[in-house]
Amino acid sequence: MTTPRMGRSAPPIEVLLVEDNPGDVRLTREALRGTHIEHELHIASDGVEALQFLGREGRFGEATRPDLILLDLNLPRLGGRDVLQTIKSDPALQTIPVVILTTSESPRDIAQSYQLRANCYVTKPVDLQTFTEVFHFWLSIARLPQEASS
Amino acid sequence: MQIFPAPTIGVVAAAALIVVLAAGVAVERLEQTALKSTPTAGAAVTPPTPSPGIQRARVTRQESRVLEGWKADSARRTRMLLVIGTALGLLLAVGGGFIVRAFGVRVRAEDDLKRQQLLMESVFGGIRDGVVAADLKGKFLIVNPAAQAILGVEEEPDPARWSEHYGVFKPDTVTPFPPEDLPLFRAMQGEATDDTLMHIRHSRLSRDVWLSVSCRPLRDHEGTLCGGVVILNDMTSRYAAEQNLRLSEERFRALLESAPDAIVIVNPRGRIDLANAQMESLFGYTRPELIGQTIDMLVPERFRGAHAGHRSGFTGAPKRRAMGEGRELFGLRKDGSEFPVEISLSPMEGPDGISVTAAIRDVTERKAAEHKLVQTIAELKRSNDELEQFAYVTSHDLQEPLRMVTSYTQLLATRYSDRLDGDAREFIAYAVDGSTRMRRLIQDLLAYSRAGTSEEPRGRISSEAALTVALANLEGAIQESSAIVTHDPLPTVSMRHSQLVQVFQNLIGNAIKYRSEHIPRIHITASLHPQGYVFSVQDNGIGIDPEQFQRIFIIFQRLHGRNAYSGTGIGLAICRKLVERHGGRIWVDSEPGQGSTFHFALVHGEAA
Repeated sequence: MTTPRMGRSAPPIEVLLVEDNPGDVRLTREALRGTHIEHELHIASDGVEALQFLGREGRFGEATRPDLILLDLNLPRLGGRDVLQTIKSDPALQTIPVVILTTSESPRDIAQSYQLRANCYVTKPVDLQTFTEVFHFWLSIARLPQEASS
Repeated sequence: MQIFPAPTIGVVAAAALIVVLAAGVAVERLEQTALKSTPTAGAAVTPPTPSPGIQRARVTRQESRVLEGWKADSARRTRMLLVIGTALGLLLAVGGGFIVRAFGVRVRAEDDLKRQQLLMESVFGGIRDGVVAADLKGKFLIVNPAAQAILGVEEEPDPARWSEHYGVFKPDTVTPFPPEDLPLFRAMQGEATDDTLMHIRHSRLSRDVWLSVSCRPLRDHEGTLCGGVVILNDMTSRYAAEQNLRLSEERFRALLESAPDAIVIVNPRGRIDLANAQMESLFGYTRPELIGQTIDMLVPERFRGAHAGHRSGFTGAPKRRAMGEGRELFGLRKDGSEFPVEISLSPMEGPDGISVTAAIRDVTERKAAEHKLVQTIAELKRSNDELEQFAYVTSHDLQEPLRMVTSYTQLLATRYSDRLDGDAREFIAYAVDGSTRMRRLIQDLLAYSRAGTSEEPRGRISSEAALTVALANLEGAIQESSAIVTHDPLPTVSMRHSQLVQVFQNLIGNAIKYRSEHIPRIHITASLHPQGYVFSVQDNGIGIDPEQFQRIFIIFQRLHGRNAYSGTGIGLAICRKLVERHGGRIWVDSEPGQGSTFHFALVHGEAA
C-alpha cells in the first residue's frame, strides 16, 4: 500500500474504535494494519467510555481528539445510536467522520444511522480483505477535516 | 161480488186500523218504558206509527241506523216491537178479514188484504235482519228473505228438531244449541230475550254464520199467547273482525313473549306501556314494577341525562334503527348491576305522540366472545411477530460468533500459510467450509423470516413486469445454461411486486438448477379461475418424485446431496410463504425424468 496523501513525517491518523467484542477489536486492528497507513488506534468498550474519551474525562484526561470514529451500534450501557447523536449535536465533535461498523443489515438501522448524520454505514465483512479495503478508503482516499477547535 | 155495502167494509177496516193504532200506542208505551232504562238511545227513537207509509220510512231510517252501528240496543228493540206491532195488527186484520168473510163480507176486503200483504212483504223484504214468526205449534207464519238466506233449508215443523235441522250451535261452535233454549221456542213460551249469540253451521251455507238473536212472544188481541217472533241479526262479519282482532292480538302477544329479545314499548311520555317476560328476566323487575315507570329506571344513572336527549332526538326524527350506533350501551338491573346491551328501536305513531318499541338484547356473552377473539388475534399476532423477531434476531446474532470463526480461520490460513502442513491446511479448509455453509444457512433463515414482511403496499401489479425483472436477475444463470424461457401473456394481479419477482425468480432459478441433460426449456402461463389466477412454471428438468411433493416446500429440506446441487433448500419455502401470505397456495405436478410444473394460485384482491 502507498500513502500518496501524506509523507512519512505526517502525524499518525487518530482512530477511535467503539467496540465491546475483543475479537472484533483485534480483527479491526489487523484490518487497519493491513492498510499500511500510519495510525493510532484507541479503544472504548462501550458508549459511556466513548463519550468520556471524547470529553477527556476520567482516565481519558490525556486523550487526543480522534480524526475518525469507528462505532458499533450494539454496545453495553450506552448504545451506538445515542453516542452518534451526542457526537453529531456537539459543535466541537460533529465534524469528526463517524463510520458505523455493525453486523446489522437492517434497512431501519441503516436509514436511522444516516438520519443521525453518520458518515458511512458498513456491515462488518466476514473476510479480512474487504475489511481492510474499507479502512484503506477512509485512511488514504477520503479527506479528513483538520482539527476544527480545541 | 159486492154483497156487503161499503159502510160495513169501512167499519171493519176502521176497526182493524184502530187495533193497529192501539197496538202502536201500546208499543210506544212499552218503548218509553224501555227508554227509561236506556236513556242514551232516546234521541234516536221515533215512536212507531200505524201509517204504513211512515212506518216504511221509519224502517228505512232504522236501516241506516243498522249501518251506523249494531250496538243501538234500544233501536233494535224498537224495531222488533214495531215488527211485533205490525204482525199483531196484520194478524188482527187477517182475523178481521175472517170475520168479515164469515159474515159473507167479501166485497173489496180481498183487494185490501192483497195490498196489506204486498206492503208486509215489502217491509219485511227490506229489513236486513232476519225475521221469523211462528205460531204455537212451530209453524212459521213469517220468514222474511233475510231469514230465508240464513236458514236456507226447508221448513222443519218440529221445534225439537230445529237446532239440528238448521245447524244451530252455541258460541263455542261445537255444542248443539238446546232446542228448548232457542229464542223462538222461548218466545213461543211467552218469554222475551235479547242478544242471544249463536253459531249457524250448515252444509247448505257457504260460510258459517254468527247470529245475535232477540225474541218476543206473539199475543192476539185478547192478550193470549199465539206464537213467537225472532229477529236474527247477522253478526258474522262483525264477529269475524273481532275474531281477527283477537287473533292478531294473540299473535302479537305470542310473538312478544316468544321473541328472544326483551321488548318494551315506551309511550310518548317516556313511560313503559308494555313489557314482555324477557324484560322481567333480563332486568329482574316484575311487569307490574315496570309498567307505568319511566324508562330511565333501566338506564345506568350516568347515562340518564344524555338518554333523555337521545330519546327526544329519536322521536323528533323517528325511524327504525339501532340505538347508539358506535356507542357502548348498558342496562341497569333491579339489583343495581349493569350489563352491555344492544337495542333496536322502532317508532309507532299514536294518537298522543310517538311511542317507541325497543328490543333489548343482552350482549354480555357476545362482548366477552368478541373481546376474547380480539385478544386471541392480538396474541396470535404477537406470537407471530415474536417468532419472526426471534428468527431474525437469532439468525442475526448467530452471525456474530460465526464471523469470528470465519475471520480468524482465514487470518490463520493467510498469516501462517508458510508454517502449516497439509493436514493443518485441510483442517482449516473444513472449518472455513463449515462456517461458510453455516453463514449461508443463517442468511437464508434471515431471508425466510423477512420474506413477506415488506412494507411495500399490496396493489395491482403486472405479473409480466415482475417476470421480466426476475429474468433479468437470473440473466447469468440463463446464459450459462442456455436456458430458453418463454411465457404467455400474463395478467395483472393483486400482490407485491418485489415478492412476485422473488417467487418467479426462485421457481425459474430452480428449473434451471435442476435441469436434465437437455437444454432447459421453461414456459410460464397463467389461467383464470373463479377465485383468481393460477400461474404455472413448466420445465423439462429432472422432475420430482411425487412422494417428495410436500417436503420440498419445507425450509431446509433438500432432496439432493450437497455435492450434486448447491443451496440450502430455502427457495420453495420462501415461495410458499409469500404466496400464502397473499391468500394463495403453491403446489407441484411432476414425474421423475419428465420435468416439473410448479403452480401457484393468487386469489383476486379487493380491486379484482
